[in-house]
Amino acid sequence: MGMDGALDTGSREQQRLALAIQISDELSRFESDGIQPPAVTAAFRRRGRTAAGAALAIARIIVERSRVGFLPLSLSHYLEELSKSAQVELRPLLAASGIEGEGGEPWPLPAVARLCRRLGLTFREAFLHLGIGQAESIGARPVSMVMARRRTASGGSDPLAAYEAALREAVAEIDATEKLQAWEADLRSAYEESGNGE
Amino acid sequence: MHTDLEALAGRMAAMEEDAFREFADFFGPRLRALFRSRGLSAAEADDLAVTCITDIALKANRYDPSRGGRFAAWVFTLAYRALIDLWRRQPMSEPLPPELALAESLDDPAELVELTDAVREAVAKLPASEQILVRLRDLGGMVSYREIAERLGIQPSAARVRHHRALRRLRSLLEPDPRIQWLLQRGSA
Repeated sequence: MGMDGALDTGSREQQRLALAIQISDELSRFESDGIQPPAVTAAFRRRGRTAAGAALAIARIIVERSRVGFLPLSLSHYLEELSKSAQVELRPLLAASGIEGEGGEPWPLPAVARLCRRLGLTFREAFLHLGIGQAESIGARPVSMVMARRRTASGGSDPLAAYEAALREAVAEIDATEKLQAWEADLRSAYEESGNGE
Repeated sequence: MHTDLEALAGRMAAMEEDAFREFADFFGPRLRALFRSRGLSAAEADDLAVTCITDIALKANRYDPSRGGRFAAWVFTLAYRALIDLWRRQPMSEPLPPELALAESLDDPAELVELTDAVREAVAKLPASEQILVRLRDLGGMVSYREIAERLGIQPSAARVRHHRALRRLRSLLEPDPRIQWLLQRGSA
């Protein structure tokens, strides 16, 4: 830390003052154009640009999502549709959140949680997308079909509630309620882990 | 090349593609250097810097210059939060080290800017012979007393004494500064 012994009379205020001097120096160097940070490799520079490109793609998808709203689709299908409308490439965006390869879901939950948070999805929205994908993968009827039969698409003041009820019904029909509960618990845990102080 | 960081923030909020690339080029190496200086390995610093580039760039439209901060200070604050989160996710999580605890209390970039301005102005008020000691030893250089002594043509013990005298004077300039008071009074470090 470099300040050892600098203000060494030991009171808490003095220690805080010493740390404050240090942090203010760090910020000066951080924002200065004149003081160059140590050189980075070309590979790191490429990774940085890819990460920034992913941020821009996510920002464009967020704009598109605010127009479209929630749709009862698996996360991968929802993102495919949004990325087409927003005219952004999906693969780099997924890779930036730790989702690699060509295949669809299931994706690693920590990566799903990070991606959903970046997209601004609430936990309930994220769980619905995840649950819809998982339920269909084990043979449950599509949630949109259940919704059509129940004719409860609006959900009153809480539109997601109707989708949640339809999802529960779809998995109950194939005796998979416990699986749904386990997915919810796993995603909640991943969501909390990915909190980033928010 | 001079980078207008406030303009960059505005261009990012307007989703200009070039602005996102410039953000990565300017802040990527700085984020990496900051994380390395905080003890992360090269690979950890690379990963956290890249994650921060995405997460912070994505939030650029939330930066509000009217609140009195500067864009770089805002980025710096978010970078420290990411570092604190990483620390807390460690399996053998220990209490935050003092510098991270202090950074955690700096939740408003405007306060950070005021703090930095106060320190910069106080250092500028020191006699030139003391400024050089503080700059070498505390501000960026972190140079040893032996090296300082060699540069100034004095004994290492004299360098140490003069440095302590300079810090006492700096402290006496900073302690009454209203821009520092909140820091000295806030929470535990």
